[in-house]
Amino acid sequence: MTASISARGLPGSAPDRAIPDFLAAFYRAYLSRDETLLQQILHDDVEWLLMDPADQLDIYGRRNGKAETIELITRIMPCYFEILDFEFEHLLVDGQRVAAYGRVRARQRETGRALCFRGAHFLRFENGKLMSFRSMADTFDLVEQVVGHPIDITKRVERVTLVPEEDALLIV
Amino acid sequence: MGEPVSRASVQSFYEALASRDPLRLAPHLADDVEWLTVGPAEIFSFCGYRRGKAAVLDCIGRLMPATLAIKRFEPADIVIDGDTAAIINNVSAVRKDNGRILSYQTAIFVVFSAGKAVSVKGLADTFDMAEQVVGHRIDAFSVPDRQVPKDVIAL
Repeated sequence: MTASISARGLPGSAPDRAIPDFLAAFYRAYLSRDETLLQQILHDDVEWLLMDPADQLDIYGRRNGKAETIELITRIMPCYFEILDFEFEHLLVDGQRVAAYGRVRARQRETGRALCFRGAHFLRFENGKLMSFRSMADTFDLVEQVVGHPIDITKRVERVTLVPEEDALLIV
Repeated sequence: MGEPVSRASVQSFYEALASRDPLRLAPHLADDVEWLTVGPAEIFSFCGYRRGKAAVLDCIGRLMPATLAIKRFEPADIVIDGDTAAIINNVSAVRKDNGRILSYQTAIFVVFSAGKAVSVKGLADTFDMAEQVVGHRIDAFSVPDRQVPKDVIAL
């Protein structure tokens, strides 16, 4: 079995591969959540997409531009998770296009629970700056780990009115 | 990493995969191919690990068509490095049991040897797919009802 490549350890964790500096710099910035490093590696018009259940956790969905992306990584994501590492079973580099597949290791902030789930990244750089980041994951497994129990798919989110219609206080 | 795979081989494999035709896909698979579709097997019977050409073709030719009728399977991006190709696909399908339309993206990572796929790993936003299957937003935070095992006898 091929040994996995640690994103946190790039480029040293991939001694047999030619890892571009911009790729190692991106994962260093992403995992450290260092705003200065993120400012350097992200393109001003970066498109960031975590293709995951935005209804369940608001870290998911699309962000446009450097400011929104940095806010997501440095302020919003840490409210839910600390990403410890990405362990890549496959790391493909084709010029400034990158695809990676492996496991995400994270810690849930609320419970301290360790999370481990499969995911994939597709990155596109331009002049060494990240232009596009698309992430996909086995979100059913992830959500089960987050909530700490199996999911009953027959349970639906109930719509609840915030204020009863007959509330006398609303009568003007 | 093995011998680099050509773009033509990747394209040919992808077109065979998109056809969902086992006879067309078989020549592109190594005899001991490993096939992993990540996701909840209790919802999608074609999810899980398969090994060997026969098991994979059974999954493609029998299990998947019994659940979903694939209407669109198009590449959004392909990255090739050495012997491995990564593909993002746009997929549209119809659920066989209730006619619901599913629209989702998948990521497939394929390792080739001598022009044949020896390892295929597929991934998708499985929670979103489950919600599309059941047709409503799933309350993941709701704890499942406890079920008493039917074989428990109280004396």
